[in-house]
Amino acid sequence: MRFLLVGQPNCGKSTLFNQIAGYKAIESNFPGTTVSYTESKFMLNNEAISIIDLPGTYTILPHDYAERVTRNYIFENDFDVIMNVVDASTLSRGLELTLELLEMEKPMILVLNMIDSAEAKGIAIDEKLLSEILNIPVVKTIGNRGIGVEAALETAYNTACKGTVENSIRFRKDVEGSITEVMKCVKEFIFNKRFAAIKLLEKDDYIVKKIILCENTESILVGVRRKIEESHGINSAMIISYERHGLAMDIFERVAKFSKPKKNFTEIVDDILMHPIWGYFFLAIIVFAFFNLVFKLGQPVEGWLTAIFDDLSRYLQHYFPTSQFIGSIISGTVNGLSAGIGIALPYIFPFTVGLSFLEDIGYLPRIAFLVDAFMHKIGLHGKSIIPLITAYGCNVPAILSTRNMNNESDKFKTAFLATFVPCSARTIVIMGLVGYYLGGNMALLIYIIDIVVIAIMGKILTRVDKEPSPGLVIEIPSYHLPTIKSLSQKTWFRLKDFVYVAFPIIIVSSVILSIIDYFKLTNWINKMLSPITTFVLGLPQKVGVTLIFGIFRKELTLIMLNQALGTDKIATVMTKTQILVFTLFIVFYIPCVSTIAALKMELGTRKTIIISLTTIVVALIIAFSARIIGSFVY
Amino acid sequence: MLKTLSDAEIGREYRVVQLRGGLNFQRRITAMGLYVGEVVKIVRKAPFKGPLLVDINSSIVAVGRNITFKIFVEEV
Repeated sequence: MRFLLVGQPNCGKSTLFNQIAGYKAIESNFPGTTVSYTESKFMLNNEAISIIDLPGTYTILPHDYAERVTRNYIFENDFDVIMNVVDASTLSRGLELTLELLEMEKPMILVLNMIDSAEAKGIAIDEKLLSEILNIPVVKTIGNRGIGVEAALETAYNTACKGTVENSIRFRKDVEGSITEVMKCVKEFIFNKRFAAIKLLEKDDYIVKKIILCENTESILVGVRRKIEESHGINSAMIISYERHGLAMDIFERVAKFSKPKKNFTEIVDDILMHPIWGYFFLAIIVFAFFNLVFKLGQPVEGWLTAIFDDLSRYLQHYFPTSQFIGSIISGTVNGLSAGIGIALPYIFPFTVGLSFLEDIGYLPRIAFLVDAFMHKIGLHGKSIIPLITAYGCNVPAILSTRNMNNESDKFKTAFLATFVPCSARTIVIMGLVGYYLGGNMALLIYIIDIVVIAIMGKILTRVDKEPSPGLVIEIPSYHLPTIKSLSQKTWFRLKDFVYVAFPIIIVSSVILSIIDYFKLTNWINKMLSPITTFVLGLPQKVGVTLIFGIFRKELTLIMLNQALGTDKIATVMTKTQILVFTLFIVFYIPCVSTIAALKMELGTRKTIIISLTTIVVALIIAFSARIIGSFVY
Repeated sequence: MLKTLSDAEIGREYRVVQLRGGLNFQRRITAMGLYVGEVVKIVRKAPFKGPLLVDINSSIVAVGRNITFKIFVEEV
């Protein structure tokens, strides 16, 4: 049997899912890179059940990528029962989705979640009456404490066994009249004809394409739409939404009893964290503390890991010397593993945990609120800040997460700008070169220059791509203490992009680098690149090859620079200006191979090439300017 | 008096009277509960012409300034 978890964003659906997956799972299937739902299997009444956690959606008429995933899943897959999860504290809005799902007349139960926070808001719900009105079972749960989960699953199981349900909820008379007329035009549909008629009035192209109409009925359809639009004065697509809204409000008022709410925790905290002045002060502190913690904690761990892999590589060299072809392949593989794990474990992992924590607790949408005004100045809106912050850990998950942006233009701009964000690998280079030889303030300056460049690029992009951004509309959920389970799931969800996309590429490219080394192509590459390295940037010719390494893995430039120059005391062979110029070039020029792969997945080849070429131009301009300015300063 | 949500004041309640925008805009905004006829309360405003924080039937939604110009309201 297959259970679907469907609900609006922030209804606690995933927490509920994790409770189920946690204590009963016999197998948990984590999402791949193309789908973003989670599946888990468990045993109930001696039967194998798979439960699917679909992304949160406000309606089945989708506005963004995640919502499309949910709608398409419902229409393209078989299932036995829908567990519609609703946040009891925002029941009136949640019921709109419930009513829409009921129209499908599929077995369904309502899971009234987070009843504790509803009670704190002074809302008590009569679930028996609600069940009577909707004609489906209603179960109360408190997801994060696991209360009611068992009962919800049992109820869902029993409902699935009973088969289809009848939906007796009706809109106002004239709307129902139009629906009945449209129903006559419907020949075939995977769901009932009334549902097809409603979707024809709602004009969702995706669903409309799945409806087979009787011959020569197009004109009837157009006529019905026109008639009802005239009498209501709004688009027929909106009429149905208003009908559901009205019904939902009526039902809510019948089943809910109100008492005086407690001054809730969220409001008290938001008085500080969303304050027009203090809000920004705390934002700066939180972000600064977050980055410091991650990279300060990461450094010693990276040291240990590199030491372990160095030992391993020395040990292997004993048996397979790099002078042999096979030996160089093996050493490339080990170096790749070392680099992947050496970046992922100490930096990307804690960064991702921290980011997931900020998301789970509810702080990320608040950042979007705080920075929206600034983001507008560079042609984006608050929602884009989340991929941009993610990019400081690793660009790959950042770019893949831009699929959640509401339109193509926002997606392109956000992904473009994300490639300029110095990820953990680039941070290693900045710290190891500028931070080490020129001091912490200069390193900080690089980050500031980077933000300025992002702002300027944002401005330029809005000039080129004139499509106005649809703007910010985002729900600000109450603060919630994250559970370990949901934290680990979110962390994995972001980390898997690194594991599946970036990690294999890192290993393969390491092998390629070994082969370059084996065939002694280094000198040739250095000569080829000398117009850029020596003529434009004024760097030693020997650094040329490190730029190639940097395309594969940015942090390698640091190690390879030591190797190329034959010393780990860079300051003895490069001037301060040269170190600065080199680092700036590394930070901006061409995204790493893994990032390019991610760009190609999300935006296609053409846009990926545009972005990659632009970054080279930007890097040349910035690094050349640094060379000129540096020659005056130092 | 008719005005847009952008002119709304913190702590006051307003009734939505018109949503001036295309179908996508209307769908997006009503999905968050901002229907014509609904009474909303302004909870907060971000500085520098940032978004408004609106309480709609006890769910809190951040609405960007450029969107608030399209939402016409009257004081309750």
